[in-house]
Amino acid sequence: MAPNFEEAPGSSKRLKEEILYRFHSKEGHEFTMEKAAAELSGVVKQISQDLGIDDDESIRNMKPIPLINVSSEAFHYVVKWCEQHKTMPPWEQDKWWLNERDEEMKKWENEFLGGLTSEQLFDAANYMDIKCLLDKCAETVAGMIKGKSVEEIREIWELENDFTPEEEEAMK
Amino acid sequence: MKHFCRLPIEVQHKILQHMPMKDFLKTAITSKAIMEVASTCRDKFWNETLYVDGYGVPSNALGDIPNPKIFKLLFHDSVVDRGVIFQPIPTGIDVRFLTMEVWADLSPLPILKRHQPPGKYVRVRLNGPEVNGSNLPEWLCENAEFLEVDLSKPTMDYITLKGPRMNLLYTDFTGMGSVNYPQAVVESWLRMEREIELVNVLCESYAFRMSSMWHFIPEYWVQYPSMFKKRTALYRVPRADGRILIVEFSDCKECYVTDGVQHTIIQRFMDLETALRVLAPRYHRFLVAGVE
Repeated sequence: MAPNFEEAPGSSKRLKEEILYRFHSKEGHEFTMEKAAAELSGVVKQISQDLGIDDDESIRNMKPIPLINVSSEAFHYVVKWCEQHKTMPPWEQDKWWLNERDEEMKKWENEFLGGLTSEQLFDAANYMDIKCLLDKCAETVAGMIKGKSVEEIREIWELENDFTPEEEEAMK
Repeated sequence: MKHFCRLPIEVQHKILQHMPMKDFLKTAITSKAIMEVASTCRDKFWNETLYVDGYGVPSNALGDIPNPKIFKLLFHDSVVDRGVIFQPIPTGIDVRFLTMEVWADLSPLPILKRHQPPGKYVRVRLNGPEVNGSNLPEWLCENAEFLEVDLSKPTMDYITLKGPRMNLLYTDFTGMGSVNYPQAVVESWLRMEREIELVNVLCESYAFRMSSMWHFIPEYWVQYPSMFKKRTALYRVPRADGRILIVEFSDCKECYVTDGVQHTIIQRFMDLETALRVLAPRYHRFLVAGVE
């Protein structure tokens, strides 16, 4: 079922006292995201830096950040993820997941990605440079082919076997 | 998730990085495009599993590896110069040499100084009993990373290198360097009943060591290189705990002609299953677990 963006955590109907970044999705929907959550995105941080946005007032007055490659649906889930992880320390490859997260959070993450991992979400995480989400998506997708044969992997990911028989023989 | 190839390359790379070795290997050969991406994942696998082989006959070694460019290769070669004299280092392949201090006494240093094979050196310092200091040439000492191995401890099976995630079975037991292992050390390995995998490999090593051929002085094998051509087969054996054991079998028939028993065994090393059965019935648990 498509999410109702008007009631979503990232919809623009948020409390005025919150420090919110505003975004425009590919379809032109306006979304907001709380400051700490939005700053999980490397792109948001970079844009803020480039524009000299260094205080809360500037964030409030900032124009919406256009996310021309991120659909409303994908962004809806990105917001959910970021708000759930906004209190986590800065990203560190291979170490970040070792940070203390309670069982609730782990369960939430698994459920969140369980039926969700789509190219769209992946693209959004990549485009917005949200490293923890990207990493989790990659882990989930990698898990999809666990124990599968080469043929099954091709089927799951719709890959064309473009090796010649000679090349295949050489790889054995 | 469908259409893997439509994902940005860096995302594909990230997914591959998350796979365990077995899945990675299978995914890498699904299509040319993915193989290309997989070939950029070598750093991850340097930290997990390595192909290890002697460098004496690298063409054979590389032939055993499905796609050598995917992996960083670690060549052990107790007599580093030998491979460099007879075989150039293949281009585009990241090579590290594992050297042992003990071989230095056997090595013709002038040849080493001339060739100084490029690559990174991991210097294994054997600090068990009866092993003295090193004669490693200065240039090698300067470039080498250090790896302390206490041979006196019965727990020496996997040498952890570059962090705890890498499981490396150090296989340089069957070559020239093994000549120089103190007998007491070798015998102590053989007594390590709990270290099944290592013992099995070492049993063969011990036979090598006892073979009179290995006691020839260096000038001899420099003069007659063909005598020392080895065909080395590498087999990766997934273990129940997820680690991968790398078993090295050296098929050096010239060295065995005077040793009827060993020769018979070597003749039977035609496939992994046979080899493992010959080496030790206990390997059956791996076969049952599904060795490919």
